Amino acid sequence: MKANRLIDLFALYGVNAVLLVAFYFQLAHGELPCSLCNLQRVAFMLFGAGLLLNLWGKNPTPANYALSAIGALVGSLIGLMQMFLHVLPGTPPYGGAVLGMHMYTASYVVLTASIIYCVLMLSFQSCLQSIDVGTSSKDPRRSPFVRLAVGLFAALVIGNLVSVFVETGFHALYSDPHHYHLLYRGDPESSDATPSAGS
Amino acid sequence: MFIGFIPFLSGTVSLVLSLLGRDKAARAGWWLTTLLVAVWAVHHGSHHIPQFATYGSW
Repeated sequence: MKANRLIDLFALYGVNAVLLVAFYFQLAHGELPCSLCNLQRVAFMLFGAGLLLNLWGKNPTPANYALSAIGALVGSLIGLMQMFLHVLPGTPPYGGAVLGMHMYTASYVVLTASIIYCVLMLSFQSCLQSIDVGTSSKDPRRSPFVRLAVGLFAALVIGNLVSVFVETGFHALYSDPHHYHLLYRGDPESSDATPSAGS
Repeated sequence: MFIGFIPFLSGTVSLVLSLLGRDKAARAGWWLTTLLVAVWAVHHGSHHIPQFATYGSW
């Protein structure tokens, strides 16, 4: 396997880890993602999409890194916007914290680092392509580690589609959801435990 | 119009195209998803403009 593909493989595992942590907070801690959180999840998927096309596609091109970088840029700007919403003293944060940073801040840091990753990979692509790591196989896409990373990424993308549909149904994304729209008869943004009448 | 799952659906369709090896269509799908996320972010972010306006000069 070429060195650049191996690094992309590790990066795709990183994207999977981030999306898994987001699901952990959602399912284990009951922290429903807000509108901007959901959009940042898609941004991570976009970053992963360029890596997926590099690993799984027939003709990997530098344009895939451009896709990853632009996706990460959009996501980091969304994270920055959310940081501005919660940065004022006395403004309550949204959701839990990872390594002392609330998730939108952590997301901003990781997505900004992802842009730098894309720039570096593009800069050193020709150098990395000349390095072979491990045994060379006819089709590196058949490697079980690649299949696992791609399978996990696919499961997480589909899982997020199901999650957001259960959370919002056919409505716009909620700013401050407390309940899943399809599993609750009241207003999903109401923190009240009892459903509101007439909804 | 800004139904929440649309960017996710676009991403899932692009994913399926990627896995099927239809690289050109998949790439176009992922770029479309990027555009949708940007538009959705502007839509949801615009609700907070009054809050940002209180921050002083930009």
